[in-house]
Amino acid sequence: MLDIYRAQFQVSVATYVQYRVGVLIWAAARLVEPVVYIMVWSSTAAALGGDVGGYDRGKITAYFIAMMIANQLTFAKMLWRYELRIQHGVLSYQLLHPVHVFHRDIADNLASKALQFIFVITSALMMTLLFQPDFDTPLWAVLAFPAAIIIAWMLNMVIDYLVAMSAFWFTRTNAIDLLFYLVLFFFSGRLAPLDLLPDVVQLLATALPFRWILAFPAELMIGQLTPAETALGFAMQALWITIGAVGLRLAWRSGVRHYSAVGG
Amino acid sequence: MQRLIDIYQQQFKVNLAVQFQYRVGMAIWMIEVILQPTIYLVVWSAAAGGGEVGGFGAREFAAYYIALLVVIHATQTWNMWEMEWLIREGQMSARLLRPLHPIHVDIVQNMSYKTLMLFVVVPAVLLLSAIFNPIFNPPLWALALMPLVLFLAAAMMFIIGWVTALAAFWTTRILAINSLFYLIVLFFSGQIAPLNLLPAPLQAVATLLPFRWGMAFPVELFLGRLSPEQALTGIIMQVFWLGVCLSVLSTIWRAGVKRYGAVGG
Repeated sequence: MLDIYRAQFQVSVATYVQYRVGVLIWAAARLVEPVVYIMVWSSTAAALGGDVGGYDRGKITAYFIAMMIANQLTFAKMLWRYELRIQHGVLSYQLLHPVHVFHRDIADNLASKALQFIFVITSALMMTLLFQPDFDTPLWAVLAFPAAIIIAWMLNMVIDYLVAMSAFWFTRTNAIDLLFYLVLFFFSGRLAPLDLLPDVVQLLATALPFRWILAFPAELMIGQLTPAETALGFAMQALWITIGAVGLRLAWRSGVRHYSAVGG
Repeated sequence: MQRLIDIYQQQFKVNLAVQFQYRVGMAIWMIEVILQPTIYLVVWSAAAGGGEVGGFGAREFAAYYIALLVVIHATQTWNMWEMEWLIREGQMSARLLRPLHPIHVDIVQNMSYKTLMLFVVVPAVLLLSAIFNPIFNPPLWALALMPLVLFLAAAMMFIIGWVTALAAFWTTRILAINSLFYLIVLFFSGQIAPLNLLPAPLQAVATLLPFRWGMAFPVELFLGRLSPEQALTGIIMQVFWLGVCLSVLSTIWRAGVKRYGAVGG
């Protein structure tokens, strides 16, 4: 299994190096987003007399740098892959491989992360120098962060796969993709720290999985969470991975059946 | 001209029928059109609390984002998401053989979709207005200018969308380009936040780019936030960008079709 991963990883890295421009555009997009948010929310905090919902300029900066890193380490983007594979029937022979097609995706996802991580680290360092974020992270949180981020990545993969399975039933998935992006955007804390939102929305965000993918590791990284809140975060991650995995298993099975019936 | 109008009429009817078949897709788009401004509205109202940010209190934010919902609807384009597919699947070939420039098909599709969606947008606006209590304060002259400004905004954004779509003739990395485009529009059109909340350098960039004139400008005009001089500047910028984009479009289109013929033939 490890050999298979290694081989796919190498193929993917080679492919991404060929598509340098695409990688660069993605990196640019990922950098533009936090910079703009830092500017928007800092000027909002200034207009409100120093802080917005308990976040002052330094905290806001730290939050969005952490968010950029969390976003980078957890992204999945599976929907368009499945749309293409299903439309073109490529999935047919991928299903015949002795290794589940998911493993190919996972290795590819890791390869793309490895390449883009160079950009993200550079941008995070640059932004730290430029904007002077205020990280206030206790040692235990630093230690817990890797676990939180790896589980968050797994959770995001599961949820993203679930959405991607819709490609079995719909041939044009742009609308679904955008809708998913929008929901994720709001409830994961990417647009604004969740503390800033009204109570009802916060409650909803707590119940949904998205918060535990991005906001949780980011808040952990900037030292916003107590040990009890951190424990809750891990518990929610575990709960949603379990629910998501069961759902994914069901969706994959009936999806593949649907696929062979129509596209065969 | 009469011939073109006839063609438009026919295409319009066909498109209505086609889009009515894609009810699920429409329902999802509809949720999006409503959800996106609502999200920002909620975030900014909460952030403002009882106070004001950059001249916006909770009810001003409500007005801003409800007006934005209408403007987003009026200026929406999605051709960049379709062009890749048209080219990849060879559907473009059939379109090129017609005696009419393919852009006309998309213009009619765009108009018929927007007409259909009015049945969603109008109730959404009424509902959001009932919930959030917006303050609209447009002077009469601004109201009179609205149809012209909205038309120019829609035309400009449509052409920009089409120019972006043409990238599909050259690259397969369309998803990355579209996503970056989406982000830039989001930030610099005044969707994320009213532009006067942004720091000065970002505002300057927004003024130079076309997106502000396609979205924030009609919204601010409708809110009664602009002076007649500012409104005039806005209309001039819209006409300027429309002209620029049209000439870019005709240049790129020719080069793109040549390339398409050479590779995909």
